[in-house]
Amino acid sequence: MEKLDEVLVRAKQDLSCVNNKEGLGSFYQNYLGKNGKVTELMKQMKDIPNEEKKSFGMAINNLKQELQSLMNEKEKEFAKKKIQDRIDNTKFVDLTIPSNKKRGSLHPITILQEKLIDIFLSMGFTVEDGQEIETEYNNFEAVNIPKNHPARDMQDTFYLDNGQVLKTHTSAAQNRIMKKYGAPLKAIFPGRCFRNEELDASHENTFFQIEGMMIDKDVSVANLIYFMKEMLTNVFGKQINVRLRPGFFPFVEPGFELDISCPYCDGKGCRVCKHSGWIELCPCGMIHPNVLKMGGIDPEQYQGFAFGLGFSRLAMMDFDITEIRLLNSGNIKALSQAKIK
Amino acid sequence: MKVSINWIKDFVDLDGINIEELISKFTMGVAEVEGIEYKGKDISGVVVGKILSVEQVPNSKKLHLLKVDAGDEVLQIVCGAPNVRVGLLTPLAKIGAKLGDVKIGKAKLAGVESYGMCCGGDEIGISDDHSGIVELDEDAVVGQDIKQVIDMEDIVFEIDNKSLTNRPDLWGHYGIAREIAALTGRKLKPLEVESKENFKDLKKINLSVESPDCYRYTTACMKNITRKKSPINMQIRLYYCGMRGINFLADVTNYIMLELGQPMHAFDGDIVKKIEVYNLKQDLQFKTLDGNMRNLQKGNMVIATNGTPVAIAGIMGGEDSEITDSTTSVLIESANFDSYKVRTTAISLGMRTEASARYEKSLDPEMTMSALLRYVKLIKDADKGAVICSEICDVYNKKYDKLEITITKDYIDKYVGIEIPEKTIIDILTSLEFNLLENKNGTYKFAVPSFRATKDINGKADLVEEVTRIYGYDNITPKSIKQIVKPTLLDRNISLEYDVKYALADRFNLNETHSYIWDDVNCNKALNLNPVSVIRCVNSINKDNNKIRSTIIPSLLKVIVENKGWYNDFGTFEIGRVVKKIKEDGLADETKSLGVVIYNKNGKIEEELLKLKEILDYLFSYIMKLDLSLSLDIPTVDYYIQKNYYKIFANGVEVGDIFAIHPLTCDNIEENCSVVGFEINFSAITGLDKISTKFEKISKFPITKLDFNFLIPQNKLYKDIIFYAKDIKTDLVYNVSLLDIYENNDGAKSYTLHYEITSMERNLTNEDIEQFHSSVINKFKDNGIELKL
Repeated sequence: MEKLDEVLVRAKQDLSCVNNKEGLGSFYQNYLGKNGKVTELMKQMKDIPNEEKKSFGMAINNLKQELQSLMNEKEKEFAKKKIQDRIDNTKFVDLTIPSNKKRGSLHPITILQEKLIDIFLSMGFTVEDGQEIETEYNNFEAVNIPKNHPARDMQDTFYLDNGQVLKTHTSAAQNRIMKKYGAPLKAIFPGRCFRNEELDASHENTFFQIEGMMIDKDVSVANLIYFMKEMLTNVFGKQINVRLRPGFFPFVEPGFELDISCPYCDGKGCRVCKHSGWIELCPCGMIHPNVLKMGGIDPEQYQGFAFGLGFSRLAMMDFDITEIRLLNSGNIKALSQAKIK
Repeated sequence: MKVSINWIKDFVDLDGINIEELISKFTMGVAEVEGIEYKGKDISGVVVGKILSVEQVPNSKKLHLLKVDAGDEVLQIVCGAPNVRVGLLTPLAKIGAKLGDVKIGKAKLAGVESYGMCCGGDEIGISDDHSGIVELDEDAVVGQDIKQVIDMEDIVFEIDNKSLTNRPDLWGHYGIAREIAALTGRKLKPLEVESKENFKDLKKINLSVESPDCYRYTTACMKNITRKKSPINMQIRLYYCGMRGINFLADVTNYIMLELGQPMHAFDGDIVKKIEVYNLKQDLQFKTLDGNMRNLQKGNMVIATNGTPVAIAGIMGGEDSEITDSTTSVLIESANFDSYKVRTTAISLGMRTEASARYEKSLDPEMTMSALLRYVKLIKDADKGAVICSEICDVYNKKYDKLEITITKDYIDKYVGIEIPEKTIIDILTSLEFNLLENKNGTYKFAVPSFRATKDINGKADLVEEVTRIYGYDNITPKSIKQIVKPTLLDRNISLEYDVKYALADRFNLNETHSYIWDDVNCNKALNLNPVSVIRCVNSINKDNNKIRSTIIPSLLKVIVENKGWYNDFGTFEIGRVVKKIKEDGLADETKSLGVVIYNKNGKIEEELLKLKEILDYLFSYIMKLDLSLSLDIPTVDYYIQKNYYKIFANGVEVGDIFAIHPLTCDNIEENCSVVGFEINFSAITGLDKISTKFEKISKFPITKLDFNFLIPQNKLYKDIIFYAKDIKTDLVYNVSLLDIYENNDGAKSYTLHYEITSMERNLTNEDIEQFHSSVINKFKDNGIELKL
């Protein structure tokens, strides 16, 4: 019995010196292996008197179990240390350093157009694609600007040698879209327009508009105001008020200039709104009965509104661009400031 | 157009009305007001002075020493004006007076003290005249504040002319006053005119109107006119409204034009006694009253006397018959001409005048008579000796059709989306001089007044506008629609465009730019590019930019040139319009083109092309979902290299090309740089059917992997190899791909093809595998390709 206690004391001493998995392996061999010390003690069983065999056996088993549990603890300790080492060995990372994945850029017009399309889609408008080269008929006659009408002077038109024109406004697509869908109709059509004039900080010969039309049996001025207000509130991401003023455009009757409460100062007056609290944003109105008629829609049955949003200007406001020429400049250094989405 | 509130007050009582609020109401209900000027507000301390004596200042050629009666005192004033004379009444700025930013103090001129200043018209802001001091009427009371003597205090607002293009009636104060009367609910006073009775039994004027473009010509004569300068208040109004006083008879024509919108002309009655209106039968030269010689063309409408033109109808009079200081009799023209005729003549002569600007708006022909009668009254009021010396001669050849519009209250309410009371509807239209002919249970019949009927008002929608703008757009409550809800999907045409752009920017580090639809001729020349163009602008301001592009690549190369200073290795893209051909019906065949160009200062063309291929693969398989194939071809332009030029096919349809830019062009960008790109007809892409994804059954039996190493002949493309590889008569192939390419120094090339084979029904046996192995080898052998040993 004395022997057993000694073995336990020695084993504890040995185990405390073990500091790796291999050490634990040889400790096992030394005590519990084939020629281990405990196994050796077992072999003494045959020399033990019968009446003591039982208690000797129990004592050996206890010793074995004790050693085994000591080893398990040690093993756990090693596993824990290994995990801790992995953490300790992880180097410190400065996450305040920006990542270096390079990304290209979308044109500001593309970004804004996507946003506008999303808003109009959500309000049930379909989105149509127009042409840049139009017939004189679609650009003028079909929107109630007959030949010799002074309004043709107002829009400096690029005429092409086959008799077509570079479209001067997105309204040029109205006729085609009315003929394509008939009434009722709810559509927007973004597109590029052209005016034959000299460039300066606020004048471009090539710019974007979004035209919208809604035609049904009882579409009213009140609906027009509602849609413009909701749409613009979403564009600017804050409550926008709108007001209508009389404006003359041959394709609408009544025709309006739509002003919005200045989104930069909430109507209090600032540089952008020239201290008036309002910004003139887009011509709109109730579609002229002649225009409906030419589009194959009966003006006695149907009525509707149309608007033409100058969205190069909207992009300038949105991105704080001061020179309209930047948009067509191809200046990547400047344009790429507009982040994707 | 500038509008004087004083002038408006002649026609509408504005007592108790806040003028600023009125003007903003005008903007909200009629037309945009661009600015307001407060005239005379910055002038104070100026009184009527009377010159008592005039002496020359010693040692000065120009200066006079005056004694001026200021009412309560007599002041010594030094004055340089040439028109000083004893007895003259003139504005006198006393010490302490303010003339704009100038404060009058005691001054010493040529050594003589001056206790104030006699004022010229420009100094008190009532004209731009600096030639002398203002000569006031003799009945002015000495010492009285000048503002009580002349109408120099006024509020003048300017209306944006563009917002008046459809309103011929708003080109004069009387029409504006009518709107203001409607906006304020006050009465419009009738115009005071000479009675027609006073023209009876006098001589007749010989008037012949041949031209069909002259709708109406109204004329009369006056004589014994002695007044040379117009009354000062008339001059002030003309000046405040942007015109300049000339002489009495001409000023009154301008005054009427600003008052009624009716252009008039005054001929010297001694020179012009009869009138002929005709269109010229041949070109001729004509000197207008501004002293310029004009080349009139055959067909231009003129006013003539005895066969000699004296005016270009509706545009400007001639020098020979203009009013001069010696004129004492006048022949007055008040006429109406065809708007288009006047407009085209004015444009062709390059002379748009105040008169032509009004005529081209389609003026009311009814107005010529009242304008003439108003003219005669104003002359007689200001020159008591003036005498009417002819009957009114009036040839009225073309009237506008009388217009009556029937409209219901329901229509108005439905159109506007709110309910407007019947009384309001009728009151508004009546105040705008629409005449209510009938009212049966909410159905109204209105007669349109002549001054609105020439082009502005045509139908019901126009009446809705009249009612609502005066009622106030602010009174319309926004309202959503009642409509059946249907799903709205974004057209693939449009969504695809955005998805492609997004992928190019986000995944491939490319930058989107926009460029013009025309070729930049100068840039193309500098880069040795000569793209074809099948359509041109005929009137472009910039002659270098008149060719519409047939390809988008030159535009993108320009972007490369302009940005290469910033980046050594970058790319740009655009989806823009091009015209490659004219269709059979003569219209341009406009298509959307996607162009991508990448630049590398030190890049190798081969590597750059592979980058493009990666982009194409991604776009086709993940974004467009189309089958991509390439085929070697020969470029049609010489700025692409022949080698490595491929046509791009989508679902078997040719849609574009992929190319490397010729070194000649590259060197014009940056020496030894490499530029490659591709262009795809985006319009063609969007019409193609997407390849739909169908899930294939996956075998539950193990896959066997087999690699083959083939020696590839130089003339074979990968697409040929993969075609053979797939063209094996077996149903065991799960997948085959290119594992590796090996190229040794002699240029000999070998591909490692990696097969994965399996069966849906069972485990493959050795025989299966062996049989497959040999059928692959045989397939390749048949096509002249051997295993690499």
